[in-house]
Order: sequence, then structure tokens, then C-alpha cells
Amino acid sequence: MARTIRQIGLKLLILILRITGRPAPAGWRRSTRPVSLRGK
Amino acid sequence: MSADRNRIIIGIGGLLGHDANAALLSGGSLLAASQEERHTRIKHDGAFPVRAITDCLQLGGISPALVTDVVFAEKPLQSLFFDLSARSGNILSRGLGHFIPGAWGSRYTRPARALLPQARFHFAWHHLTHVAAAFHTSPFARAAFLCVDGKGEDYCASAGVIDHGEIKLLWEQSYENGLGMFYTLITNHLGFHSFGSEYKVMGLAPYGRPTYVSQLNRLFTTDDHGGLRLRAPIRFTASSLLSALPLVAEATGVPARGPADPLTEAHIDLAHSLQQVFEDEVLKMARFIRAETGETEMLFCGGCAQNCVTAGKLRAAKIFARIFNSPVGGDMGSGLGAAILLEREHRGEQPLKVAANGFYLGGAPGSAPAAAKDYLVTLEGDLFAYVAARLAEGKIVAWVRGRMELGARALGARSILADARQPGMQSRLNLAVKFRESFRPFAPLVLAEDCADWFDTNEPSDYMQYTASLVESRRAPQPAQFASLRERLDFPRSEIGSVIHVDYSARLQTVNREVHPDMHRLLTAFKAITGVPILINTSYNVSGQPIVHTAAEAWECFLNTDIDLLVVDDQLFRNPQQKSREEKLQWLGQFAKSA
Repeated sequence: MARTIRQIGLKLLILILRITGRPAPAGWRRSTRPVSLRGK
Repeated sequence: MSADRNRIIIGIGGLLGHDANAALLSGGSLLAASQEERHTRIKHDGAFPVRAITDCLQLGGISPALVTDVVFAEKPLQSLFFDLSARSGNILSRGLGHFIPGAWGSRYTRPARALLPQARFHFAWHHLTHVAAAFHTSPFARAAFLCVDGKGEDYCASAGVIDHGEIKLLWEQSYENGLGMFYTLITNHLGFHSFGSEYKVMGLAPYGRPTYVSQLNRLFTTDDHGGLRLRAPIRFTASSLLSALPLVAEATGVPARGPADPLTEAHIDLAHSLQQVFEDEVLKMARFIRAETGETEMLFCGGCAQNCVTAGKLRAAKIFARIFNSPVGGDMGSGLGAAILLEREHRGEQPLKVAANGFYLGGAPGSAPAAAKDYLVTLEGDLFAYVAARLAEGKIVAWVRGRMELGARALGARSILADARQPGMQSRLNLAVKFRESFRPFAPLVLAEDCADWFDTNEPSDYMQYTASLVESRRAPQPAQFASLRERLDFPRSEIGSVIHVDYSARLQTVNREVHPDMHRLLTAFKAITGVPILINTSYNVSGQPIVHTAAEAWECFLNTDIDLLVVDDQLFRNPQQKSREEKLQWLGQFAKSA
């Protein structure tokens, strides 16, 4: 049951992202990626 | 401090689907690194590297229960998430992707937990593992870096500065716009479909002309900084590549080649044009990074850094005073990088420099099989002098000694060696030993102290990371035109023609006494006989086969090829030559899928 709910949730999220999303911008962009292994 | 001393880290990489690998770091010392393909015998095997991990632990003499930390060289959930959402430009997608806890990556943690019960799990951004592996095995204390590959989680290029191990990630490019994917696309178009075939196109390129550069430029837009955008986003899947192939045919007018089709002049020119476009973009990226960071030294890493021709051009362009091209810049070194990244983070301000030990980090060959004993050659005198003399007579020698090298290239521990002066040796090796395309060039081993006498560089290339050109005085002039590729291939371009490409370039491995003592001794013995400090070095395998690992695999490969002599540690064997050509081809068939 929990697995089904998780899967439906993920699919919904992906659908929202695909509808609202846009292709990545061309070229270099400033990175906001955290580099530390700690935490995440 | 005692916790530091007891920290035992396993880095696991290659889980993006190819070249799975593991590395073992204990107390900051690199004890072992191993690739899964070397054990499963499936080239570029991307399965969870159970055997590679076990191998590392055995080599390090460490019980699995003692491993304190496991670091994965990518964030699997983020990678999957970006793949599914297909919208890396979406701020919500990026935000979620960056902050989903790595611990949700149960796809990896389950098999790892079964193997390493006490370990804590960590997940590193993929490119950072490349940067860490490059930096901590480089001679630099501080440098800019450029990491380019097919795909990190959602990016294909990143750049920044690393200072005593502290990484400042400054820029990145989305993976939909990848230079690496572009090279892979054209490689597929040229009929080289098996994973990792880009190096074949790099080897083919010098035979051609840059006639398709403007046509290839129609497939993407770019700017002065190498900021690429493919006109059709290509993802890291076979179906995505296949669907994009018609665009290449349309843009270039060159139809896609099937794997068994002959190579035409158009294909060869397309390979040349692709290599030129690739080099131009990388050089633009390097200029951008130089201008933005002000650094004078740069690390070049990621899968695209395996393109040693580009690395050679990058070094020759002098955009940076010094370039270091990571010898394990591709995914086979990402486990090593991940382990280093964690060790460095735990150390804080304490310095960390990793002794790579020549990258001879795998297992020893073990004993030759019993069947080999009948063919053991009883040596009178020194093995090195004997082998050098046989090489000078034109014999082909398989050389299997000590611990195996990490990475895609044989560095002298699992190598086939031959005399580069022998006429026709390139074709003989390609067709009767390696069973591969006849155009493929071979790389020279050259004594580091003699390098400048032969090539236009005096800088080290300890791990075959760079190309250089033969000095003018040793070149034989070539006719303006050749009747065929075969004629061009066989033309004696120099005294060491088998390792000199048609444009007089060579993919160097400089042999330094400290880094490669074994090979240095053999080359010195060869030079004493011939006056030439150079040998052909190619990996000990046949087309499509992972490089041999054990003595048993070495013996099997020996029986099925026309190699004359086999060295396993201190023993020398002659080839029984019991198998017919048909039997050898039948044996070869098992590797055809990966060829």
C-alpha cells in the first residue's frame, strides 16, 4: 500500500515537473550545487 | 585522531551503468582499486561491483566488518529523478534534485549493506569524484579544473578551483547539452556502436580532413566559452542516440555506417571533423576557465579527458602553464575519487596526498596453469635481457608482471610488447594478435630520459595521457596522396613507424624509473641492443575482451593469438601454437558483442 502511494506520488511529481518545466539553458551556468558530503 | 587512523573507506563507482569499480583507502593510504570487468570478464561491466569490492578487501587484508564508510560516486536518486523529469532547466526540479537525501538510494545501499555490515553510507556528486581523483594524484597544490563527460547526475561539464583539496564548484553545463554525448552520437553514426568506442574515432581522425566541420556545427549552437547546446537534446540511452542519428545524416549528408560496412573517405573525414570540433570546444572552455579563475594550472578530467589527443593539444596550446590529465579520469577511477573525497573531508585542514603507486592497484597474476608448465622456457641469465633480445628479433611478447593497473590503458603490467622498428608490425599486431581494425594505431613506451630526442616534448606522460609529435629530424616525408588507406598505413613514416600515426603524432607513455621500475629496466635492456629506447605497448587482450587479469586468463589469450612469448612474473613461456586460425576465431567470437 505504502509503495503504491509512493509510486503515485512520484509519478504526479514528475508530471508536474514535465508540464511546468523547460529545457536547460545553453552554456555555462553558475553552480549552486553543495560540495560537502556531510548532510546530503 | 584514533578515529581517523581507523577510518577504512570503500569508494564505489561506475554505477551510472558502465565501468563499475571499487577502491580501498585506509588511514589515507590507497591500498587497492579494482574494476568489475576484470573479474566478470564483461567489458565495461556496470553491475554492482561485488567482486571488485571483495578483491580490494583481500588485497588490503581487511575484513568486511572493519569497513567504516562507503562512498558512492554518484547520487542515484537524483540521477533517476533528472532522467524521469527530463527538465533539468526547471528550478523546482533542480532544487529537489540537489536536496533529496542521498540515503534514499536504496538501489545501491542494499547490496552494499549485505557486503559491508558496519559501514556508514555517503553519496558524492559524480563530477566531484573525478576532480578529487585527478587532484590528489596530480603534482598540483592548487589548480583550476575542467571536468567533461557524457553525464553526471544532471550535468555534463563542470569547472572551478581546487585548493589543497577544497573544491569550489563555480560553473556547470546541463547534460542535455553535452559535448560528450555529441561525440558518442557521431561515434554511433560512424558504426562504432559498442560502449566506449570513442577512442576508435579518435584513432581514425588523423587519416581524414576537416571537410564536415561546418555541417557538424549545424547540430549545435555554441559560444566563445564552449557553452554548447545541442539542437536536439540527447539523453544517455541507446534509444535516444538512435533517434538522433537521422539528424546527423541530414546535417552532414553522410549516411549512417553499419558496424560491418567498409569505412569510406566520407566516414574518415567525418571522424576528423568531429575530433576538430571537440578540440575547439574544449580549448574554448579552457580559455574561459583561465580568464575567470586566473589560475595557471588546470586539471582535465571526466570521461572526455580520456581523449589524449585533445589533452596533448590542450597542453601544447599553453593556455595554462601546466595541465594534468587524469589517467583515471573516466568512470573507472570514480570509486577512487569518491573515497578520497570523504577522506579529505574528514581531515579538514590536514593535507592529503595519495600515492598512486603507478596505478598498479589491482591483483597479482598468480601461478600459471599446470598445462603451461610443458612450455616453460629455462632461462640462462637475466629475464629482461633475454626478452629484450627476442623483441629486437621481431618477437611479440605478452608481459604480465605484478599488480594490475587501474584504468582503460595497459601501463606495462598487462601489456603486449613489440619492436616498433619492425616493418608491418602494426598490421601484424592488429590482425593476428588483437583481431581489430587495421587502422588502429599503437602507443609507444619511451624512456623518459630519452623522450626529447624523439618527440617534441620533455614533459612527462607517465600514464599515456597525452599525444606528442615525432621530432622533424626523425620523420620520413610522405607522398601528397596515397592510393588507399592500406598504402597510407603501411608507408614507413619513420624508423619507429608502428607507433607513429599518419600525422606523426604518438600517444606517449614516458617510462620513469621511479614510477615504472620494471618497464624501465626492460626498455634500458632493449636500448642497449638496438639503440632505440622505444617499444610498442598495447593492452593484453583481444578486441572486445577486458584486459587479462590472472595468469590463467593470460595463458588462454596466449593460446588463441599469435603472440610468441608470455612472461608471467619471473617465468617465461613459449606459445604451443596448437590452435588453428578457425579455432582462434571461434574463441574470439565470445567477445564480438563488446568489440
